[in-house]
Formats: sequence, C-alpha cells, structure tokens
Amino acid sequence: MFDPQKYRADFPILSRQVHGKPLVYLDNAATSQKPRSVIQAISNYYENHNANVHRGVHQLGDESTTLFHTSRQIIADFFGAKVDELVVVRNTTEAANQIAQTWGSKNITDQDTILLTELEHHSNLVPWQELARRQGAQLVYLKVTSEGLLDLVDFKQQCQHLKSIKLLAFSHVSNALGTLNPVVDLVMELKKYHPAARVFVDGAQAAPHLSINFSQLDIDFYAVSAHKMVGPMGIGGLLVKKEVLEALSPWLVGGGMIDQVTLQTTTFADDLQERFTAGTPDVASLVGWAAACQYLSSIGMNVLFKYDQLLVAQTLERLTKIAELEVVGPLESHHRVGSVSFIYRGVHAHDVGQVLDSEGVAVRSGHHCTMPLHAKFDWQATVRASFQLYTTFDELEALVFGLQKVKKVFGL
Amino acid sequence: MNDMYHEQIIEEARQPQFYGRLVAVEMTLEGKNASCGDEVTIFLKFARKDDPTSPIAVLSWEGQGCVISRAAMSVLAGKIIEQKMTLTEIKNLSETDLEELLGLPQISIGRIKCLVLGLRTLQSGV
Repeated sequence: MFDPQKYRADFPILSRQVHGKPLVYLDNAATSQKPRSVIQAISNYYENHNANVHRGVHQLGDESTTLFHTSRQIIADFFGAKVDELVVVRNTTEAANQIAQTWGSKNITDQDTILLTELEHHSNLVPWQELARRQGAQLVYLKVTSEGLLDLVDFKQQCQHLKSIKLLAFSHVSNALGTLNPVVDLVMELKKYHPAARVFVDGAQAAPHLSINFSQLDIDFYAVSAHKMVGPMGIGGLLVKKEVLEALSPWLVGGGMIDQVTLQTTTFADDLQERFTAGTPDVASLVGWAAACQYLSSIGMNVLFKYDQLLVAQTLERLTKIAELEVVGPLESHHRVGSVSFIYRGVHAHDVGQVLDSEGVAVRSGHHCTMPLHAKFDWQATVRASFQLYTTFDELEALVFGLQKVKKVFGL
Repeated sequence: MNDMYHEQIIEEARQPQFYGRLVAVEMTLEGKNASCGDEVTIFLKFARKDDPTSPIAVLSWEGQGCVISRAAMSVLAGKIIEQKMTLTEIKNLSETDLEELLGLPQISIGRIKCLVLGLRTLQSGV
C-alpha cells in the first residue's frame, strides 16, 4: 500500500510549524505544496541555464531551448497529448477565456446554446456567460442533484430538447464538492444529438489525482493548472485537439509567433507550438511543472488515485459521525475526488477555519468560487478539507480534533 | 564552435554550389526562418518537362543566410544533382543526413533551423 510518510520529507514546507503546532495542510484544492525536485528544477534553471529561448546562438540559449522543449514533451506525455496540442497558459481561468474569446467569438451565434453545469467554478462559468452575452447565445445549466451529482436525466432531456448546443463546458472534478463527473458518458450522450458540439473540460481538480489520457477522450479542450499538481504557480496548460487548434487564430500576437512581418501585415507561424507561444515563455515554471509531472509519474497516478479514495472514504466516515456537521456533496467515496466539504451547524465557515488554523490545520472556507452552487443549496459558506499525496490519516484525525475544539470555543 | 566552422563548411558557404537565379524554371520554392531572417529561393527544372515527380535535372538557388544555412543548401544541391533525386526522395532526407553531408557531428538546437532551411524549403514542394 502507498505510504505517504515515504514522500513527506520531499516537501520542505511540511516540516514547518504553525502557531506552535505541526502544519496540517488540507487546502490542496486551492494549491498544493511543492516537492524539493520542483523547487530545485526552477532554481537550477536560473542558476545554471537561464537565457531566452529560440534566439541567441550561444550555449545558454541552446540549453534553455532544449529544456523548454523537453519540458513541453514531458508535460504533454503526462496528459497523453501530442506536444503541439499543449498551449501553455497561466492558469485554467486564462484557458477558458482564450477559448471563449477566439473560438467562441467566431463560432457561437444567437442561434446557439452553451450548456454548463451548476457545479462550475467561476473560471468555467464567467467566461462562457460573457461569451453568451456578447453573442446573444442561450446559456443553459445542467442541474445538480441534492447529492451533489450532475443530474443525468436532466442532461439527457436537455440534449434531446435543446436546439444547437454548440459548447458543453464542465469540470472533470468539482472543486467545491469533489464530485467526479462521468466525462465519457456525458460526451457520448451529447454527441448523439449534437455531433458537432465542442467540449471544454476544466481539469484543474482532476489533474492532481487522476490519470488523464487526452488522446483517448472525445474532448476538444482540456484545461489544467500546474500549481494544483505539485508544480509551480502561474503556469498551466490548455490541451486542444490538433485539428481544432489548427483552425484557431492565435489570441496573443507579437514576438516569437510570426512567420513574416511587414509594416502593414503579418503572417503567423505554421508550427502550432510557435503560433500559440507569443512573447518570452516562462521557461523556469515550465521546467518546474515538468519536474512535477515526473515526480507524480514516479509514484504513478493510479496509485495516487487509489490512495486519494482511501483518504476520501476515511474523511467521510469520520466527519459524518460528528453531529454538528453536515457533509455536502456526494456521500459515496467513489463519486468524490480530492476533497470533502461540510457545514458546521451554527458556526460560520470562516470561524471554523480560524479555529482549525489555531491547531495548525489549514482548510479553505467560503464559497470556493462557486457562488451559484452555494446559492442553489442556500449554503452561506462551506469548509473544505482537500488532500494531496502527502496527506496522512493522522492529519485527518487532527482535523477531527480541531473540529471538537470548535465546539468548545463556541460553547455548543 | 571550431567543429562547426571547419574548412569545408566555410568554403562551401563562400563558394556555394549551384548558386544563382534561373529564369524559365518549372518550379520556384521560397523558404525563410522567421526567428533570424534567413531566406532561400530555389529554382528547379525536371528531367521530364513540367513533371515534378521526375528527377530534378536543374537546380539553382540564392538567398541570404548564415554559413550553416548556405553550406547546408550547397551540399544538398550537390547531392540532389549528383544522385538525380526526385522531390519524393528529398522528402525522406532528415536533419541527420545534412549533418553527415556537412561532417557536423551534432548541431546545437539553436542552429537546427539554419541547417534545415534549404531542405524544408525543397520538402515544401511535394
């Protein structure tokens, strides 16, 4: 069985204390901690190889260019994508915005429907909402059941009755409820009625825990963020099926991505990697992200998924026994990935978070960038405990202990 | 660096084979490297008139570029004419073939574009 203790020493930050207590970091869905190999890959890049790519004819330029390309290849391989299907972006939000502004503005009309779900993070909602408003398109939301699952009966009906669904956008794993959405089934059902529809999947919460094979999925756009999968902040990927990317206009124009520039006109590079890399790329972060992919691969995503399932099951088991808590979202661990969210009856989520912090336990409190979902269920705010490969069962007990303290502090 | 600029390469670039502009050609191919501004134009006539599947009978080229891009185009032109190659056969040539032709063990990543400019331009003709 997977033993997180073997890996905790790889993460320097985990040895620090918070308020005199050992750090229990359960806010991994917001961002994960970074192993030494990722931190060192970045510092090594700056200490030994830093130079701009594709430009200077000198040794450092060659080394940097080689690192840039090998890193891209490692990341693409990690997701089962072709290397030129990887467009590097800053984060998942940017990925959705890019597609909304380029593909969306060109292809969505006032005759079309954009189908989203009530589960979505604002990053996979606001860009499409704005797109619909600009183009006069219809925006329809797939319902979420009281168990926190997508309503597949509703989905089937929407697919049958809605005319011209041009885009379906949904999260692979919900950041607020941890719901694991049935990607393959959803796409199959959609394509029965709307074969030409494009599919955008927000993979930010899936990439840290699941093995993803982009080439095997009938999905046009898949967005991920490095920092949630033990990589650096500020870099992410938009995977786009090659034939779809070839038809897209570049959204950022200028340095590096050109074929020929005159004072009046410009033609763009045919090479997709060049065409969608405008300006100096963040090579150091790319190198760090590749190191993160290698770190995860060295353990194995299937191993990590199984371990996450154990953490989810144990958390559900422990938290559903606490009378003051209402666990929100799926109560069966196989429908959930990476996190468990809950409400502490009579205590606001921020107050719960504050008390837990005094015990060294870091969780997320709030609406988790899912205001419509919280409004639907009339939750003012929820508390989320989320996991990574270094999360231990002892840390889950620290969470339970911290929750007992909440009871004492507020005299319940 | 010294390996890269050995005598044959410098000589090849200084007095390239089949250099010059041809008129009344059957195919003209243009290529360039956006990142450095190197460019090449290649003029072709075929063994069977206007049949681009037949061997290349006449080739000339001109362009602006670094020593590597000029030397590589030059030796490539020599090989094509000597071996009466077709465009399809040229399609199968690789970066490694050019390295061998030039006697360069392994060119640095920053110069690959220079090395293959002429080859990629010819390959765009199929």
